[in-house]
Amino acid sequence: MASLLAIGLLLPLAALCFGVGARVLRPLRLPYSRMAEEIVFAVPVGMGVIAYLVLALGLLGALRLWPVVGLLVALAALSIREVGRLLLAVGRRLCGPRRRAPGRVWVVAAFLLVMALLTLLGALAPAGQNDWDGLSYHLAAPKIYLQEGRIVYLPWMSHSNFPFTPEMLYTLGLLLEGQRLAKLFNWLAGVLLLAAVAQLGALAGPRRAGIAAAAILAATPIVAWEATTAGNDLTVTLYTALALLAFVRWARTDRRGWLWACGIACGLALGTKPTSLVVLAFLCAAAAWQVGRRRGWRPALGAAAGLALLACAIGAPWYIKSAVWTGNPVYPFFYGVFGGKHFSAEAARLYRAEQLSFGMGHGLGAFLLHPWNLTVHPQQFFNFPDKPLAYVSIGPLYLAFVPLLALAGRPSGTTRFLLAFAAAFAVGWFLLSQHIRYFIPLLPAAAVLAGVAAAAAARVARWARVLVAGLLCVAGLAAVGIALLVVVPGAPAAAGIETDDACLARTLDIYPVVRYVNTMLPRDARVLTLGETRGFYFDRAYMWGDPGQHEIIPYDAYQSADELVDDLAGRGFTHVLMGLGFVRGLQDDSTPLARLFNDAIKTGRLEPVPVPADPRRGRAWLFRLRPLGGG
Amino acid sequence: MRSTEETGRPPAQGQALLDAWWARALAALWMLGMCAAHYWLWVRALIQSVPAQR
Repeated sequence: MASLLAIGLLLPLAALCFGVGARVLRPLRLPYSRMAEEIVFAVPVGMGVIAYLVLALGLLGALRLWPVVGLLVALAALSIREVGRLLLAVGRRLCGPRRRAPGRVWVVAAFLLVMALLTLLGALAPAGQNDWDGLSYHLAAPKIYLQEGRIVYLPWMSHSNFPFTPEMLYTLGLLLEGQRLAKLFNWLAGVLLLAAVAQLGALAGPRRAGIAAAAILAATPIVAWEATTAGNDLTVTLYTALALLAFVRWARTDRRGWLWACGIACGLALGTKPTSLVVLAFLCAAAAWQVGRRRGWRPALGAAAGLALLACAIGAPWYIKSAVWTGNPVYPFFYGVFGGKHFSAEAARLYRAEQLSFGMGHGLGAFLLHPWNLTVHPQQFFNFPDKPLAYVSIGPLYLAFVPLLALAGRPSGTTRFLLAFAAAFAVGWFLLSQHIRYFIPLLPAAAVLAGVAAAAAARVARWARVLVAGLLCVAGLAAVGIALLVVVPGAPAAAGIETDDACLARTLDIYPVVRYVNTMLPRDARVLTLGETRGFYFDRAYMWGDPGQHEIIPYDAYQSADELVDDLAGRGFTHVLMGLGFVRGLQDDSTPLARLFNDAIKTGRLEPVPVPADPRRGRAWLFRLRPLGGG
Repeated sequence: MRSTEETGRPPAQGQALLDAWWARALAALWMLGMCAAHYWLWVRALIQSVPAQR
């Protein structure tokens, strides 16, 4: 069964990541408090190292099974001692005496286990309706790389020029098994994130604050949903949390190794999402302040510069690749500064306008109200403000608990540090793009702050303890319910009692058209997609064709529908697929683009292809190009 | 950030305003109020959107 195979492959790969990460971190001589802390650092660092090696193989044109397997075997040989140490520790833990723990710890552990299993089920289902970005590029670009046997420049998919560290692991997963293993890497990042937050919470307050922080993060619906997808938000959040954890350990112990571990985590965060520059800037300032207040400004600058240099060096390959291929290291962002191939000022303006469209305002009032607005109007911070989705929510616990810190006495140094980080990150998020997914890297710090506040509140009286526990239970049950809503549609496929094909036909709106394209169109067919970017399941060549995504197709230059169709045919396209958004745009004939396509349909130059599909699910329409003198 | 580790004691939280009865009442009302507001407004938006999505 595919799911068992994926899990069976993930376990040794996770152990290999530990071995590689532990070996890379060994020169830093980090004084881990326990094995769990080493696992939390070593596995993500190993994931990053393996991702970069897959990138290297991809750029060398060796993205095939045997070179990749050879790489993994070589890494296993190099890190066999560390892997053996991990297996021994796990074996000892499993066979050793059971630790005694209070009942509430077992309740939280049971809740975390339930959430882990539910999201595991979601991760094992085929990527579907709830994973737009995964189908559009997180999985789609790696699939194209594997078809080509190398990492290629995709001028029509601007997103493929983003930093792609998790996507390299998805490439590995797709190569070794399929999308299940690819998505399990993201799920693993979520599990490691919870462990990192529990450790950070225990540093900020009493141990139960760490347990509460992990529970609060696990009870966050958008985090649970992310764990079922093939996104990159959990990976960047994991590296952000590790950077914070390493920084706190450095500030407490003054061991330089922790500062370098912080730099490595920051670098891998930069290699996942460019917005992590906000995290790095904050940590550099914090490092300078931490050193400067005791030793003066020269060592302070040295610590900040060392941290920045290490992080930038680790993140750099992605930005260099983008600069070489497009002329812009952060393509297609900051087009006004860097420019970039196949993009235009107008496309950049549209993109920026879309980014600024999220949220409920851009003034000081909106900033001060964003914790409230994010909590009660989360749909305003997502792509569909008129269509709230149950999983697009951060839940009530952050707003319910974090402000209690104001009543809880002088906060610890770690708590003050996390408050400052949360404020700095919130400012960056507010100014760059107020999308709820981009807020997720702040949630580990917020969960720890909420955990500390909840622990403080629970200590004042028995009734307060009951109240805090009750609110945690309500939010936890709501999170389980929402996770069930996300997971249940794909569960039969995850469990192997339904084929992926049948599951997708039942749940994914564009799948009937995709299946038609894959089975009925000739192998050399080439599809231009308009208003639809989810190309992962296409087994025919395709290209995003919307104006605004790139400037490859000169829509403005076409004088007539005939010119449009003939030029598209000349570029090798045989079919056009229109998604719902594009078709809706055609109803308004006032724009030149709509007139071109409407004329092409009316004159028969674009011939509708009757695709057998459930009309309630049919969300895409297929047309055949009929160029003059052909077809 | 050094003091906690050096002393080995948990941070001195819960020893200030939360000791006052009015602060405890305020904290309880805040926690209940925020959770109630979240579920009321958010679930209402979810329910209201169902006919529109159909």
